Amino acid sequence: MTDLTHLLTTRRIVVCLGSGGVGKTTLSASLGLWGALNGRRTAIVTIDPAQRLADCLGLHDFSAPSVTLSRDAFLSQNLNPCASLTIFRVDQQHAWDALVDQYVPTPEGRVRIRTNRFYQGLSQTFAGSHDYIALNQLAQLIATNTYDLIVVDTPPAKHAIDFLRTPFQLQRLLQQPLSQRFLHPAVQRGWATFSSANRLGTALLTKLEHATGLSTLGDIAAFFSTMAHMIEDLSIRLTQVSGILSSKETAFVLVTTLNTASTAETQKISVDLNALGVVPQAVVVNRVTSTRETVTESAMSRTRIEHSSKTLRGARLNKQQQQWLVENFVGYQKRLGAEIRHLEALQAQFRSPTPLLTIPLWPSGPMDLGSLARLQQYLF
Amino acid sequence: MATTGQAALEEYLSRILPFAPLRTLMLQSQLYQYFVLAAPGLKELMAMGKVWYEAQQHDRRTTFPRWDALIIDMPASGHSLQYLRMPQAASDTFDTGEVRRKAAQVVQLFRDPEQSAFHIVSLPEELPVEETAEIVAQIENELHFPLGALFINQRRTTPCDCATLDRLYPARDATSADRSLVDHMLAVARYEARLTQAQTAYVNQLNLLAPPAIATIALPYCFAESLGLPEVQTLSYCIQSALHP
Repeated sequence: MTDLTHLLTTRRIVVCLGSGGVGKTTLSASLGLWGALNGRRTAIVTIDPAQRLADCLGLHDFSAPSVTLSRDAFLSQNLNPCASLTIFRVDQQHAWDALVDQYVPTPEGRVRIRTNRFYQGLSQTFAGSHDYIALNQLAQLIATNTYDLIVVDTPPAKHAIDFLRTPFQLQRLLQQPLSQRFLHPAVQRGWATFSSANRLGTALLTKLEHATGLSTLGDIAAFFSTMAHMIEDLSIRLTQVSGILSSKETAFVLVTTLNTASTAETQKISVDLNALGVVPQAVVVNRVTSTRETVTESAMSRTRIEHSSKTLRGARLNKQQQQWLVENFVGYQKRLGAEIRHLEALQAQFRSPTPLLTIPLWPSGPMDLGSLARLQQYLF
Repeated sequence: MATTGQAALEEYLSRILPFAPLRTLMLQSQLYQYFVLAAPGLKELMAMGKVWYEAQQHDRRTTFPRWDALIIDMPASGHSLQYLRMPQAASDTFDTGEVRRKAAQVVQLFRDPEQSAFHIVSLPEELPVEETAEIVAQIENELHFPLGALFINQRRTTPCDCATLDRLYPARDATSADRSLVDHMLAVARYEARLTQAQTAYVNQLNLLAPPAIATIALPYCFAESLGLPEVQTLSYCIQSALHP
């Protein structure tokens, strides 16, 4: 049993993390597909606001919050699923509205919240509120016990770490006496509420009033006071998810490519994860040009390469083509040399038992279930 | 210059609160910590506000604008859209005060085709092409920002296609001591030719995605262990050649 096989059969949640463009979404899709093909009821959840995951699985018209792949979709690619594969995307507006429906008992109260401009910004466009709602959806998904395996596709590294920190931020916010005042209905009447608290608070809020506009702060206060129970419950749920994410139920898989920026960012993510008490369980190195064996074989001098290319003189190649054959091969060798150095740096950082798996660069890239399944030969 | 939302916010505060002790108290206060860590959208809004601020700067001595051009390197497309939406979202949410005024100014700057252009950088691969379609539509139809050029990065070109390379195999010298090296060289060339061929369909799709008035500029794949000045110069020359043939 390979290490990833062990992870995907023993862990309930697998989180794929990495910098932008390294292939997290493709890997998430491939791991999720492996789960379904091997009898694990699998959900793939994307936290990324881009629609990459749906595209990767061929779901170009993906307007519903979740889609379960049909058996025909598997059979058309000669794949035989032993369990279901469902893809979830975070529908920010829908999820916030559902929370309002759940927590505001009266129709009038719901209308008041939905017409509140702070709520409209929060639920539709404010960056960052996506993280809260994504984590809440993950919490709900875990609570249903419907899935044996949940694969989480995260946004690029910096934002992914923000996403993991979200529960701590909300907890921290709610533990503060000052934020408790946001939940106080009196705040809707104005910031005078704070004046009795302390002089510094008053000075700061005067500046804030100037910066934002009083009526907006009233909107914020109205939102917080009406949704106080929701915010407290959300905090509890996110704290629970946070506990699950840092427990043995969850495995973190780092995805990288062999270039300076990606490997440096991977090393940084690992440090940031450690600070959150999380250790990556596997590292997947994507888009590797070739393997160590071919580097050794190709470690030849330029003179020898040029000489060898001349043995093709009988062929109908013009001078430009002949020159390109040499330059291309020399460039290829350089790439391999650089890749090996990056690979060795990663191997030095992620020692056994953390598996380090490599996936070669595919000229056409994985575009359907069949090619995602073929990708698994490098992982399992 | 490198900026983050938090750094931009602190810089903004240093302008509205020039008295350092008060600013230090504010930075250490719980209220500030709440706004920085938990308030959705604030960091993104401040980062965009920083762009506007730099665009307004003038040289005190000459009174000319401080910068002739500001080039903003944005995050990956999904998150770029969150940054770009924030000024309008803030302008819609706040009906009075500095935030609304500043946010509206940022939107005005970004929407002015005389002052701003939004360049899209893509790759000739399946998922980047899909994302490019999404971001072009959002920038044009939702944000109403002026599109600049569409850059197709890491475009590979080979003077030989796979069929040409396949015809070379019988031309190898069977007696050569370097036969295996030649085989390897051809295999590598064929691999590159396949990559080039695979990219062609995506390049065509990207060309179709760009509105007629938008230039599409292909940038070559440059191998370098770390991107340095020579590679940047190569890319810069390609852009110049494409814009001024």
